[in-house]
Amino acid sequence: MKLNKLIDLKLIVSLLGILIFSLLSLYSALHTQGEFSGRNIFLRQIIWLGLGGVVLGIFYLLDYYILYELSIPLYLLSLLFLIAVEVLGRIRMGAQRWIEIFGVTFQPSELAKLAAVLLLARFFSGYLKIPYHNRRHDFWEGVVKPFLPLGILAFFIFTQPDLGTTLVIVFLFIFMVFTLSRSRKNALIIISFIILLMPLGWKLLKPYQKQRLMVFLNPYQDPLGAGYTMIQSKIAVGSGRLWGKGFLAGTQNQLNFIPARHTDFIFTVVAEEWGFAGCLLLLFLYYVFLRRILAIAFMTKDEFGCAVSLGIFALFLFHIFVNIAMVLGVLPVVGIPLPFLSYGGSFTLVSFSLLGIALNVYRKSNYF
Amino acid sequence: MEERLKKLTIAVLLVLVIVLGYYQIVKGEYFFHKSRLNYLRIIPQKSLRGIIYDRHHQALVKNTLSFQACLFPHTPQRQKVLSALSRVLQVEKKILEDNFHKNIIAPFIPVPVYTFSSVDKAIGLEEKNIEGLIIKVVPQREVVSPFALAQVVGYVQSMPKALSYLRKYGFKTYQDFGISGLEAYYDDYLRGKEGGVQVEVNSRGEVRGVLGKVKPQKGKDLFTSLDLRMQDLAYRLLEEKRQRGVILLMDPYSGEIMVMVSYPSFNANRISDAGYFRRLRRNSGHPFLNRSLQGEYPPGSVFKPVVALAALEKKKVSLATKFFCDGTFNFKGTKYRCWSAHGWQSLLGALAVSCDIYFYNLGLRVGAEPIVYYARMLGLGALSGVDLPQERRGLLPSPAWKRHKRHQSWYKGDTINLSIGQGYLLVTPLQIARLMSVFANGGYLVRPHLVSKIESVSLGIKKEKLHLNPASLRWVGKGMRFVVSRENGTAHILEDLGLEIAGKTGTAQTSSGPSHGWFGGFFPYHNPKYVIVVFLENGKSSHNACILAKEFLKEAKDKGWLSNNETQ
Repeated sequence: MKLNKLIDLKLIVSLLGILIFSLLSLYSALHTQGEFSGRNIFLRQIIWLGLGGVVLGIFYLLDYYILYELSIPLYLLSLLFLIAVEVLGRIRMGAQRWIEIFGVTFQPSELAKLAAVLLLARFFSGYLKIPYHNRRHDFWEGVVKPFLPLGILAFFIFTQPDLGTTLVIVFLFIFMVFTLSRSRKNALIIISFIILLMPLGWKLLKPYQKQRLMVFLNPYQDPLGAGYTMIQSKIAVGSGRLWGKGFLAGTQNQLNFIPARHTDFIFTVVAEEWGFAGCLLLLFLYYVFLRRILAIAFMTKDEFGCAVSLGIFALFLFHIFVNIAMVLGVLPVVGIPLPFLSYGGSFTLVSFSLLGIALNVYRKSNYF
Repeated sequence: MEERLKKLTIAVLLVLVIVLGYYQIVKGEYFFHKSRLNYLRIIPQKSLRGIIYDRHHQALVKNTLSFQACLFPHTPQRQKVLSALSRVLQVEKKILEDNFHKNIIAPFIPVPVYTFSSVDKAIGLEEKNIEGLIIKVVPQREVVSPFALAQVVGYVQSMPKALSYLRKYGFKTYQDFGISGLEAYYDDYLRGKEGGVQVEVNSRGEVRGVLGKVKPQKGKDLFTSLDLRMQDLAYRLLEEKRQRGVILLMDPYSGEIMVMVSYPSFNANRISDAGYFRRLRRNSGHPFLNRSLQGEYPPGSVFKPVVALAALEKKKVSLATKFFCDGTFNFKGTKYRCWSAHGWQSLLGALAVSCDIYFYNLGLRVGAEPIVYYARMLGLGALSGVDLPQERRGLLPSPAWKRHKRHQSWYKGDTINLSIGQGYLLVTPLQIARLMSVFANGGYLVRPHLVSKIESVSLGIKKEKLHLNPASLRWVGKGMRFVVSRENGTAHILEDLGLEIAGKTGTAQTSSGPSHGWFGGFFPYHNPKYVIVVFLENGKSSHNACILAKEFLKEAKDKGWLSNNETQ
């Protein structure tokens, strides 16, 4: 069998390109600063990437219908973790997003992303089997049934508080309903429902989250506090100009003007040091990456494989767009990492698992 | 469906590309500039002020080292450091706290909170090893004779109040600025140029590296005509008597001032002590006043040479013209007195004994206008142009002035008062010195000055040839010589100094207490080299002024300071 029948080479090449950007940017962001050097984050991320490769291999090789079966236990497991975090957080009097297992910190909300993708795929693959004209107006099957478990999941994530992941789940759900049920009526109902929920959600937000959203409207309202990150990251991006300041020469990042530059704001490093040209290249790689996942979704004749791939596509698309838009100040600051670029163990592993599943679907698509 | 989602992907990424293009291409230069402003800082470096020398190249003001306790603005243990400082330095903590807030310039520049000169205290602080405290060695301005030179040399302040309004426009500096005296007048020359180090800082303002450096430029040195030894002597004499007053010694040809002392004075080196400064400002003796050019007083009889000159120039009298003095002078029912009954007096004799009645007659014969004309010609009522700030011009009354300012006519009585230097007339001691030098140098009005050279550039001498008849100058000069040389001359006690002094005494009545005592003159009579003015505020009589002049000149002469002044 030919290699390109087994594995999507374009996808792998674009991934490798993105990973090169990731390593260069992380090295640049971390190499000098005393703040992080003690913890040697760069080496840690390399270990995470290695583990990610292993995870990718596992998800690539197993029979992905196991995931169909596993989706509900995985969902329950992540719900359990979320509740555990909630309880621990209560005990320790403060917000908590991670738990520690065998000395490794782990973010249940990242696991929840994986669970949400799989669960949605399970629901919608069953739904897809119903003939189109019958399922079209089936509000119960198409909307309410998948909404209930996901709503519970989203609620727990929201109260963590983790606005970013909540939005990921909400977006995934809307995306699936839109693309798979293709019912305007259903979509309208969901959207009006969400609009109705918004004031309630605003009330439940923590003060710092509200401030972030307010500052988004006018960063200069609090230039040294909440608006600081936005102003500084815009300066970092803009000052890269066409060709960038060069590797390790980005003053905004090297001199520590950008907080969280190795995680959510990693894109500022790319923009500042590699300029508009570098950004275009990176966005092109992301385009190829997304385009291939999309192609896989429509390549397979298996409903579950298609639904899973679409979920994976939606998840990455949302992350990439929201993260970069946030860095550019087009969207408010919510904690969403940039896939395969940001530092972070849990999300790296989840991203590689999702990619492994997509490649698995690609491999299997030849059999259907 | 696939097509639609592909388009969605492209659209989403295109939005990002457009925004990126706007920031990086359209507004790229703007943000690039902003990022430079973010990390580039300039740390100012203080320049050394120029040194001020006297005529024998002896420093009057120099830069000595002192110690400065500093801390970084964001030191977490600030309160602890300040408490420790206030214990060791024995300063109130509140003062240190105030200084701290006043002196913050930028987050990466240590803030000076206290300056002191004691080495022991500096070592004590270093030994305590207080975390967060920085002891810097900084140049400190030190006046060599802080009392004798206080008003002449003046003092400096860092970022004085007068400039603090510039702070809100971003003008911040640690440079010292001259506030008074020569320090203020020649501030632009003395100050030098502030240097700076351009550094790269991180978001916390911590310095990450040095990018460039501009060395501070030392200010220019001033070479003055002052004679420190005689300056000290003059101050000592006034201080011993606790007598408010002025002693001036000047070169009549060039206008170079050798001695300029005003008492009471203050310690120019203690001016940064806020409590001391406040006490000085409340002091009724007005120690900040440089009386030699900022004090305005009636001249009394020292004005008589001007009247005599006017009379001779206008040919109203000859040397043989005599008036009779019997001690009183009746004019339109008012009695004007002379201090003695002098009998028949001619011009030179009347100058020698300072006969008022002779000058009443003379003044009436000459008239007010010519007297005012010649007084103005000799520099009264005008600024002398001395190189010190805030000079006063005195007051030279005239019929026009009286009508304009007082809305009254000029009476003959005013002329009588003016003839003996009383009435509205006010002069500064420096104006008298200038006036005397005209008789000494044969008709030139000089500009008195202290600084003769800045660094290596000599400043020219400014003098103005007056349209005066040399004969009349000579005759008045001779009259002034008689004041000292004749047995009955009012300043005869100066004769045994052997300096051939010519001059004029004055006892000026004033509404504010006892009379002022004046002596103004020049010597040696043949070939004058010095003009001297001694003025005693409320000094009771001119005799006291003569005694002081004698003590001063005697000691200066005995020490040989008067003969070898050409060494320069």
